[in-house]
Amino acid sequence: MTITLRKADHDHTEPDLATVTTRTDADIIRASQDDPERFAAVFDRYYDAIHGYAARRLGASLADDVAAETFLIAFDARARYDLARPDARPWLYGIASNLIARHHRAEVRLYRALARTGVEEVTEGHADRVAVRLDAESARTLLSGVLAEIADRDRDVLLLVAWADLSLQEASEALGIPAGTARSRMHRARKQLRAALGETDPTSPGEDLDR
Amino acid sequence: MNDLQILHDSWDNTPPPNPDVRAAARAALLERAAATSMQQVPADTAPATAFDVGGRRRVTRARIGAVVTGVLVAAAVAGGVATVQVRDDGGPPGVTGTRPMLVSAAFVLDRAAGAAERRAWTPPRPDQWIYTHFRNVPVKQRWPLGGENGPGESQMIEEQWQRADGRRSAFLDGGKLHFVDETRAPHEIWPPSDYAGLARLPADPDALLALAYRHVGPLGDKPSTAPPGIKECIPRIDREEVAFTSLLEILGTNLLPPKLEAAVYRAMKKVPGVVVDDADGMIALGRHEDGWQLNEVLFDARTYRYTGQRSTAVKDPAEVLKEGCGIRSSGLNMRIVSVGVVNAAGQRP
Repeated sequence: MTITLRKADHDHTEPDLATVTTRTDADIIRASQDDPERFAAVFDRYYDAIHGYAARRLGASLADDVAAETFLIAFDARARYDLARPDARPWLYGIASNLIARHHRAEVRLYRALARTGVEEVTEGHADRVAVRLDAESARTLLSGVLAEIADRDRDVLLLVAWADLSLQEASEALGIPAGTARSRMHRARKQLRAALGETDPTSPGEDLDR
Repeated sequence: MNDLQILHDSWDNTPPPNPDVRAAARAALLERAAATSMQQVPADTAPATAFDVGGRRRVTRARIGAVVTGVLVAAAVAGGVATVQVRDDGGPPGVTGTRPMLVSAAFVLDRAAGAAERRAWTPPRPDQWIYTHFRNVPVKQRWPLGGENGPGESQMIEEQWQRADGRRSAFLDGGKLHFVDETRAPHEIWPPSDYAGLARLPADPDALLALAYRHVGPLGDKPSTAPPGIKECIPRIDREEVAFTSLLEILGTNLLPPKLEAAVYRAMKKVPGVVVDDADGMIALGRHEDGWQLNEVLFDARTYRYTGQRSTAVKDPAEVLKEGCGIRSSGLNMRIVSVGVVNAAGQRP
């Protein structure tokens, strides 16, 4: 893609590709104010991650719309981006979270479907349900049922941390809520998670719920 | 392993995005970026107004008051064949298997009709609402569409609901839901834009086209009503143009029974002067209108599904206006984001 290779017209200190590729997101967004097409570099960096996040929450089809729309909205809002923040991920995930919120019923349906799928597999395939260690498949079945029950705003915080790999602080920035609020939402969500997991496969009990 | 780690790992095998979808999203972003660099549409100070076009609500930033529609200038219609990127291997979506191929309008319309007929379909109940989410996409225009006498930049209101019985519609504007009670019975409007009216249309392409031509009728034979000194731009309305535009408007309603959608495409095949072109990875198929504008349907090049419409000025509209002619409509460039059936206005599928 030519955009990341092209030297900035207004930046004569930019000598080579190595420098270009280590630019922060804020640098790219700043450059895109004058040269809008440079915003494609933000897309190239984060489209897959945003799509993956949306796909976990809504399935692939709605994720296609959400991911595309996230970057169009971000592009339109780029003049308002806080250039003091080098990492654009909280901003982008915040936009994606708002779009995902429009489909919260579809999201809950998806979790319920995943939870049901697992139950069917168990009843058909494993007559002797013993206390085995959770594999990814059965953990997903179990956790899907929990995700369907967690309050929408608690789930937003939980999943930005667990699936989008944001810190709690970044998640609060993404959602535009105070850090303390994010912490208490996270705490509530994790209590529900741990209650479900604890019944099946107790994990280390002394862990800090707020990570 | 803690609970967050388990939650993280349990969804670790989420498949990567489809490369075609990714490419389309990137193209949409670049399209918007290119349009922004052009700064081509001057902002008009006239307040935005909402008005009804084919039952779906558009806003426009400038409108002309001219009564006379149409121009004499004949459209220089290019050949009906274009090079378009299409998939030809029938395989799963991917980066391989696309190559430039010569396609005709008939080829595209046959594929589109086939794709429509294969679509899963449950008709809405009369009390249900059809939700349509449009996205307005600015398109580079050689001649600005704004300005004092320009036709203005026409845009769809992005989120709209229409009850399947056609009696009520609603749209979101500034975060607020507005309701509109339809005063005219659906059957009085041509072409119908409500589901009830559409469901009554013939799903036979010949019958549908005959109906479209029938509605051209009186327009074509109307004597000049232009006041003295005002040049009558066109004595006869181009019936093919009106028929094609009707078919385009039927498509623009976006929730069609599959058989009717297929019939629209097969009827379009019978209208002369339809041209096809590549549109940034999509297929554009359309017809010139009033000699200055090309109105096109956009299809996904892989699935042949309807994805939106675009209008492109092919002649300076100011010249048309200078000739004393009115311009009927203006550049509408929209994509369908989603269409679905819900139980109440304001709900999203």
